[in-house]
Amino acid sequence: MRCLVLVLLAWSGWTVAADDAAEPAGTELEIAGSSEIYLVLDVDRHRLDVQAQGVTLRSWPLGEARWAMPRLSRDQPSRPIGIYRVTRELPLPERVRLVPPAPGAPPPAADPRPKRAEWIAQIPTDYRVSLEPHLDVRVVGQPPDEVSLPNPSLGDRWANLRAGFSDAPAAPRLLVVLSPADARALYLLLRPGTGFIVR
Amino acid sequence: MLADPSSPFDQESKTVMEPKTTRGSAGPRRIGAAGLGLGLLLLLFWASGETRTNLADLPRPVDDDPVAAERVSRELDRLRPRGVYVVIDTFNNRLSLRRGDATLREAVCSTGTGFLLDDPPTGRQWIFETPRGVHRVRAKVRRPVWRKPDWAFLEEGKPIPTRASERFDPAALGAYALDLGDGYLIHGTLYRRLLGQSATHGCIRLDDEDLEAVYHTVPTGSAVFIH
Repeated sequence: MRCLVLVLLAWSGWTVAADDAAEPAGTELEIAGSSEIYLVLDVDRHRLDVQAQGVTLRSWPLGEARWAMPRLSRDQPSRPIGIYRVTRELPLPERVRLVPPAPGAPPPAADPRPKRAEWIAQIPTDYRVSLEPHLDVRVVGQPPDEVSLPNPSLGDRWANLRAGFSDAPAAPRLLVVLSPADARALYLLLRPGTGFIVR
Repeated sequence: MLADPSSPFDQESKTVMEPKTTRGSAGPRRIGAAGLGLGLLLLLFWASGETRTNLADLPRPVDDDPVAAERVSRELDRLRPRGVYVVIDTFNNRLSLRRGDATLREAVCSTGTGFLLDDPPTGRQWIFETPRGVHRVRAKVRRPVWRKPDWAFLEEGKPIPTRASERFDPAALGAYALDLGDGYLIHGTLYRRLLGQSATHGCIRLDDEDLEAVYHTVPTGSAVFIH
């Protein structure tokens, strides 16, 4: 009987350990197994990939990828390797509204290019994305030959001070610099629930 | 020697010196306070700053498991399409035909504008966007005929026909179409000058040559990745 209990205990311990090890892998496979588009920040390759089902659809070179820590923080930073999800909707610029012409009036111009270009120009190139579990990403669009890291905002400074003078955990922040066009293309992909994997 | 308080010299000296004395003692105090304030502000500014470490220079977390990562990589390999698949970039209006990591063909296409059309009398609304995600080629059609939806008439200010036969347009879609479901197609175009631009109502338009190549290379059931 005692042996049986021991075997059961050992087996349950082994199962828990195996589940713990399998969890992160399962989650990434879940994302890849669905029909959604997700993002992979590959730190060693210095690239941000757009992927679906394990296929790299597009790969953007990173101008910079920095981990921001409050100056007074005593934490030892390590790579934020893991699987995250976008939590909040990024507001899109107001869509161009097509106005149907009155009956009998000539049809509107068929060339949508100017309006589309105007709409794209309204997409921000410096924005923040909130991810779950607890990670803020600031994306900055800058030409590759003119990269200069932006200063922390007042909100960031306040959070840094609070983290420095109390035991409150610092808000982890990732600063990613892409080209302005890539930053805009990324903005359109970041919908709530979009997977964001850091490797 | 004691000075005579009634002496005009001393009186003058007093009146001249007093204000000087007042200024001389408050000035350094004010400067000191301002300096202290400024110093404190600078200290706060410095303390509220952050260190920014290159992500690649950070150590991997202690619980990072390379064996698990390897297993994920193998599983991901299994998920990837075996045969030919299509990748459509809606931001840059490019289509590529791929097999594995090899690109077989690249083409300029047109995708959805993202514009919005309202029909106030009925309250209906359409957003002309190409749907992002993973799709499949559900069917392939030669000489497709477009059954014009209501928005196509509304957009041109024409009345919506009551007879179905008035909706058919045999010329608009070109020689071939690949059906992705929900009314979205990869098809030909009458507006070649708009290729490379976001110009459609959600479908993907190609020129005749690229369309023919896609039609003949991509089997039904193939994956179409739209991002």
